[in-house]
Amino acid sequence: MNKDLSKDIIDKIESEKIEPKSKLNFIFKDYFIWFLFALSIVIGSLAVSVLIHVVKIDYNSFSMLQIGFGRKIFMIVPYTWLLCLVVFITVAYYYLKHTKKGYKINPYLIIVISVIASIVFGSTAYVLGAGRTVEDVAYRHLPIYDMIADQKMKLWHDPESGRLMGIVTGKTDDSYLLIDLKKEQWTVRYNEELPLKKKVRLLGEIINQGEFEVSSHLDFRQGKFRMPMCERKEECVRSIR
Amino acid sequence: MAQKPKIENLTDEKLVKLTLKDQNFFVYIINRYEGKLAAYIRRISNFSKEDIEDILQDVFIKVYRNLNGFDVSLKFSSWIYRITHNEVISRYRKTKKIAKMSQEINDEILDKIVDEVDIEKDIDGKQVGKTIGQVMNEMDLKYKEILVLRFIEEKSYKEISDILRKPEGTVATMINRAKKQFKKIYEQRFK
Repeated sequence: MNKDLSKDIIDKIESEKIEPKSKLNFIFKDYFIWFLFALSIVIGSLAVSVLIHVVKIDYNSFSMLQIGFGRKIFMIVPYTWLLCLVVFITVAYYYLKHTKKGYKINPYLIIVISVIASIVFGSTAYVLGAGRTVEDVAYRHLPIYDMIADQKMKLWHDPESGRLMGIVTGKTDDSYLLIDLKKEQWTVRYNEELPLKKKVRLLGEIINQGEFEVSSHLDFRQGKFRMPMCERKEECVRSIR
Repeated sequence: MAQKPKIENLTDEKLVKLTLKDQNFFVYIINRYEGKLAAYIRRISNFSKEDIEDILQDVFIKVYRNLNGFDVSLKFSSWIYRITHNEVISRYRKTKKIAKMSQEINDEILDKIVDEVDIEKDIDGKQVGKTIGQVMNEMDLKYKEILVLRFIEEKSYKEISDILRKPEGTVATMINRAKKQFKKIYEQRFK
């Protein structure tokens, strides 16, 4: 070994004016990692709150459909929020591992802690109404979320199977006029009130060409879905207000 | 009147505090760890003498820069071994050199490994280092390193946990797997 290693190192420290980093630097870094961990848990929790909100509403509507259990589950699972939860639990895991003592904790325990924390805080956030608020914000500001949700809703539309979805455009003495997702006009017979200029989901059966008899109806979750008949999202939003 | 303790007798932690006040004390830290860390690097790698000196220089500069970040709940030796481990891994990634162990293994170390791994010592004394070295060279780096830390550097599970930043339970599992891999390679090659 080079006998002058220590001299070389000291010379380098002096010539390059190397100084120990300040203590504050390390304290800040440590707190910042904890902050990122907490932020990941908060976002994961919000994802859980929306997840509960979406599942609850979709379960109520999809459970009315006469479709197989597997397909029902496939339609109810909110993949976007589930993916969001998985992503932020992974991020939380990453940051907790990078705290000073994080490496001492069993990785599985970290995942369990993150999942439990997200579920507990997420359920609380749901009770406080965060689920609905966050989903509303997602619809307004994330076009991709709107598109994904719209695609999911399209699965719901199948007049031959007794499911009709569209916007109520007018009313006559004994029926309503409705434009469906494919821009086709329907005469809808229903002995209850339907909201005008709003999107609805109807259950019933085709009684004639372009004529649908409704047994029950469901409102849209948010009433802000982009509809194909609208050129721009703003028009759709305006049209349903 | 109380006598001042000799610098050689000061704890690592005390030396760190002194170095933060006066950089000249850093020489004592370097002198204390230079040999141990050089041997550790040699045992887990096939880096040349010059490479090892370069790594050591980088390690000590990094240690100096990060002295304020030293977590006093750890042993200083665990912290400096961790930095060295990281530097060696980073150097591997840069040079893509295959980790090979030098054959500095004596009978005492062999006995420890043989006892732990539960194999019969039926090799000639002169062949001891070479045989163990050959087996170790065929092992995965992570398993080889953990055997080196446990049986050659004689670190405790807690120290290894702090050096490799893994939970103690994972360290125990890795040591068991490392022993199994050692035994398997040994039996394939020398039985």
